[in-house]
Amino acid sequence: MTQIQSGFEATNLVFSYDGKPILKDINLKIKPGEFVCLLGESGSGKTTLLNLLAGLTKPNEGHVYWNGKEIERPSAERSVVFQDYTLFPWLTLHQNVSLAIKKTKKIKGSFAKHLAEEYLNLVGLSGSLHKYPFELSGGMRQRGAIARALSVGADALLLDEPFGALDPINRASLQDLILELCRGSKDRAITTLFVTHDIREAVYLGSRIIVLGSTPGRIIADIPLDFPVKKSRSEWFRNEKVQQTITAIEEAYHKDILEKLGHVVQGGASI
Amino acid sequence: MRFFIKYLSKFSGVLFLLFLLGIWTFISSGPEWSSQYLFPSPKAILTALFNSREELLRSAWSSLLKLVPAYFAAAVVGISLGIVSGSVPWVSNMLKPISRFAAPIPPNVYIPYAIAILPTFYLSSTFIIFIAAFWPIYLNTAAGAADIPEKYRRNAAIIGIGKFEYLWRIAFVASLPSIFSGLSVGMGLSFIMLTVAELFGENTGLGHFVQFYADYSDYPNMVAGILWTGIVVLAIMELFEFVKRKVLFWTKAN
Repeated sequence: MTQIQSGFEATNLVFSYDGKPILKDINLKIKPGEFVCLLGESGSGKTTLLNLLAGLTKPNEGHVYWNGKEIERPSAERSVVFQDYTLFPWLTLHQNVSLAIKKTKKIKGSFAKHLAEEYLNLVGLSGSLHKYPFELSGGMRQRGAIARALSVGADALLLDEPFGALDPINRASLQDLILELCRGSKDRAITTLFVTHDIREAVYLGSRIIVLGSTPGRIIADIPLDFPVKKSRSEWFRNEKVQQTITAIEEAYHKDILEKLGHVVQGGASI
Repeated sequence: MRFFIKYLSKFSGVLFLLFLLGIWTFISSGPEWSSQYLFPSPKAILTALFNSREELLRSAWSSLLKLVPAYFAAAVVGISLGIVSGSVPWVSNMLKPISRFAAPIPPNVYIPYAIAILPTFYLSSTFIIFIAAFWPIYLNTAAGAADIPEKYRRNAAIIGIGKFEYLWRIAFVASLPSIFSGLSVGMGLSFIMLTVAELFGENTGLGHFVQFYADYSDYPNMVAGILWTGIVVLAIMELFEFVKRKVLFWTKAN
């Protein structure tokens, strides 16, 4: 079997749970530095695919590789940010990040603390280092989770609807932060898989969009994106190319739903 | 009127206590249907409380010498075993049949056997207290450790926390709310078993104090012993609640 030497590769992935097929025939390559947004409705197996790439779940059939090696267990090389704020609630933000650094980089004492402080500064939390998660808003907790995920020196970041529970303002601000952190540096861009069900979010963030159809989850569209530089968010969304991409994704969704309902999509069939 | 109701509500606990004291005073004042002998007056009880203060303190100390080591041992064994059992399926499966069978057995039925097989009454009492406290602590801890949110397990795995370290660094801390529930139930049961054991055959302790004066029909001292036991238990439970609030500060918004 041939694999690419770096990035992610999934070949002929099949996953079912309690006899119910969740993912079927997934073949996928993600190149180093790519920012892939995984779109799909609820139940399409987005989170399962992310868990398989993280090593949190094993496939029933097929293989998943990271940098040419089969993924068998979770690793700090592929860090994960979940939707339901996952900082340990009994530790402060600073302790949460320090613990991750100490465990993954085998660094002890003051250097780990110093590094933790730097990562928290990076995500704009310098004023809340010693606060506990219950003292922070949802947006701040997610910033903390991002800082922790980055602090372990991950080459890949897997984000599972990380901003799904946030208000629109916080959401927009965190989207820009994640773009800056993952796509900002050309010499060391982080390979990113960002799971969302929000088409606009996927188009705004991704360098490529993969759309999953549901029951069972399979890839129904794989769209590389090449958009103008983002300056003003509202202006950018009015761009014709962006609009066309959003429409194309909506159509892919729509087609999948119609097919599932058993309609023949020819000559203007309607639901 | 509203002002009056507000204060009545605020001090209702104290007022109700005063009301009960009034009833007791009335009963002990010698109405025809009552017995002054069996219901000593509050003044007689307070006098007995004061006069027996040294003996009461010695009794409390003696009871604590039985309670603390037994409870502490039950907590250490119950929490350790509970964490492992709640986190490792084969350990849980191994212990499930015995815990389902043995946990519901009321600990007082062990008393005669404990007295028969253990060399001293002190050891028998501590054994019974251990059994009483152990099961609720173990069962609550195991349930807590088994119910740890998946997100903590996943995060621990991603940042490279190994299986053994997971037990004490994550499972133990995340289970603390359940552990404290078990410790609280275990504390109540161990107090009951302590005094039951002392009522039966000990020659020291709070239970013995009450039984001793009951045997001599010295009811003021006996009631003083009951009140003093209440005060000691209340003080320990308050201390327990204080520690619990401090340790579980992080559960505020979860």
